[in-house]
Amino acid sequence: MKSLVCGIDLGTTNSVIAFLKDGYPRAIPVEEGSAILPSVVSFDPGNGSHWVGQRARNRRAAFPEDTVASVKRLMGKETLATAGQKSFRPEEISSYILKHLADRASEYLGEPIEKVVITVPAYFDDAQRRATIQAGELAGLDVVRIVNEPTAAALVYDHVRAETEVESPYVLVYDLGGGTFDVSVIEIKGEIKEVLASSGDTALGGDDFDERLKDYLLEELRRQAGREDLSEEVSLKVRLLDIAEKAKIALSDRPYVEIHEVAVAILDGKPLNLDLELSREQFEALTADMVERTMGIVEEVLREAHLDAAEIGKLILVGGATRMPAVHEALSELFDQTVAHSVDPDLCVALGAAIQGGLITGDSVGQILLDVTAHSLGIKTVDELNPETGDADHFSTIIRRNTRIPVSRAEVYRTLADNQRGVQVEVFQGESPWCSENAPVGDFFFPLEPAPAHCPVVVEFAYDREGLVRVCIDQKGCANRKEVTLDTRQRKVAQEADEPGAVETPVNYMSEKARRLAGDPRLSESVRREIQRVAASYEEAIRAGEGEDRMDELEDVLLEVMEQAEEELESGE
Amino acid sequence: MKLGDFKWFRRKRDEEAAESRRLILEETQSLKKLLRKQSILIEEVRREQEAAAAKERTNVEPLLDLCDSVFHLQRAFRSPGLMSRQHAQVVSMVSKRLDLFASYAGVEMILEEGVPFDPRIHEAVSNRSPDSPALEIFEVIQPGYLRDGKVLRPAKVVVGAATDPNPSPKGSIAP
Repeated sequence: MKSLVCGIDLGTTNSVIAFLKDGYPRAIPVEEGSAILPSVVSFDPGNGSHWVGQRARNRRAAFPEDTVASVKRLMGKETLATAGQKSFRPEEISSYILKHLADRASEYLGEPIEKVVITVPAYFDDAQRRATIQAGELAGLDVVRIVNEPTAAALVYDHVRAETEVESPYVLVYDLGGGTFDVSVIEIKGEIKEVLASSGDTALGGDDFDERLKDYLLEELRRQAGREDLSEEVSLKVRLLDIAEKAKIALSDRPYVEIHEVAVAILDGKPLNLDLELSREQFEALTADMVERTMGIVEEVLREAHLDAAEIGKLILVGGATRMPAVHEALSELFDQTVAHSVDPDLCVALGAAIQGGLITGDSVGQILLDVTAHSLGIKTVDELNPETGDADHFSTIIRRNTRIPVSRAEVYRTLADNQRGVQVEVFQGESPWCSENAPVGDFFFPLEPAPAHCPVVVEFAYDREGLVRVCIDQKGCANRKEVTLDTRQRKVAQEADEPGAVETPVNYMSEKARRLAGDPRLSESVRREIQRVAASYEEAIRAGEGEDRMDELEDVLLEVMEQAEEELESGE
Repeated sequence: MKLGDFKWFRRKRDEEAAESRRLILEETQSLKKLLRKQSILIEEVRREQEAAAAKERTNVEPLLDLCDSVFHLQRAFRSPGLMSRQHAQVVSMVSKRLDLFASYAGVEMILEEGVPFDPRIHEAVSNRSPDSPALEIFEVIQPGYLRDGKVLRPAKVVVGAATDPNPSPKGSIAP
């Protein structure tokens, strides 16, 4: 039997293990159903046992002397990591993490894991790479290859069904993790990927954004309480950090977040509540310097690679903190192109390592089909007039193309006139900046409550796998809200009040799949129509209770057209 | 054997071989079809499972937020004298109802104090007795949650030395 080669992203903050199954990379759940393992090891000096991952991280504040985190920073150095009375070489600590990952993966897959590919930052020198190999060996693993992290990320996107063909061989990988930032420029020459330049900041990551927001919330609390002396004791700090992290995540999807937190502190025996609304704009203003810092490093790397921003063919995002829209915007502005972010940024590097493992064993790697939006979705606004027609025709994007679905995104718009009676919400899909060049999805009227001009109106799109967009429109501060569901495939509006069941439900899993393919906008119109036609006959025959021979015949035809459709999707034609 | 017999045998053999080939082809095609249907079924089941799991995840978050709020409300008024007995009773009753509601969703709160520190369900944020090897939960700052035995969030806790070998809870915050 051919042995499996797993891919491991041995990160500073977190680590992930993945494998290739039927040509597709999959991350393996290693702890409480999660694929993300904190890179922390904690020892019990009493009996010599140790914990790895979340449990070790949970012990960190209780037993700081016995717990080691961020050991990756020490790899390849002479410095020892101390835990209790014992000292460990950094590779020894890393070996515990690797062994834990391999053991969990082995339990999950039901076969021993012996061979692995491990990723390292592009800037790792020989000593650091050797230390990583040693860590693998100490864990009883055969490290068949060390791969640069940005190279692994690029490898994943090599196998993601290409949205557009890119001619430039240069790829920029922007990796903003929990505690570190790395950026690399890669040149792709066929199968070979060469890192041309790499840089970063080992003291900048998503946690710093949380910390900045936490400081703002503390100031706000002091202001609300009128007490500048409100001290940041442990419980308050923990609570505010939690609130800050949740708010940061929420602001990645919507323009405002309401914070209603009871009793974040007790002052003179009375609870102090945090009750405020925070806008994405405020959050971005608070953290703008950090995004700018990363962009400075991006420019530095471009200079080092002797490239202009315009020469970069593809931008790839890695690391959970890259979910922040400010990062997308800053990069899109500098490079004047959209960014590749459809693969989970927390898992991307490990998935790439798994693909590398598969390539080593001679496995074929399939085209990774992701559930992503095939087109951008947005509404018509009057921000710009079409120079040709002179009409208000601006397409304001709410959900960008190639965003993973299901997804929910909201944007804020403002009214034009005092006491404006309402707005006509016109939804389009497409990539043109002009609505007239995009496909209409549907439209409806939203009556407004009397309010002065520039009154904010939040438009939220929730897009699911079935191609339905739930549009929720909210006139802020007026308790005026409306929800409408639009079908991007059939271009029809179904109000919430509409009678359900107008379209009959699929008869079985075959018709379910056929309907999904028929609604896939990546397929040609003729293929979609053909599936629709065959599926309709098949469903009708089942409902009518047709004989076995007739059903067999229809089933064959349906399977054939679905196979053709899948081939079309895989070939990307 | 006559030449005629030989030809007859050969024709018979060829006919049987052709029939076997036809049967094999038919069986292969039917097997292929079954495999194809099986893979579609597996794919659909996986999609349904993922959708159900995603639905469960999204549904439980607001519940946890509400549990958090009630926990902090109760914690704010735990000092003696801050609430009348009746007010404290109201908060406690609401908390009990919420706990019951959470249990319907398979959610269990982690908020017991005075129990030994367990790194699986507790995340220490501070240690009041750094030199002590045996620690217990001194204070729960943020409740944790289990769902069907799986840790959704560990409770954030302040730990301290376990003074009593058989510690009793210092007062339960929630029911």
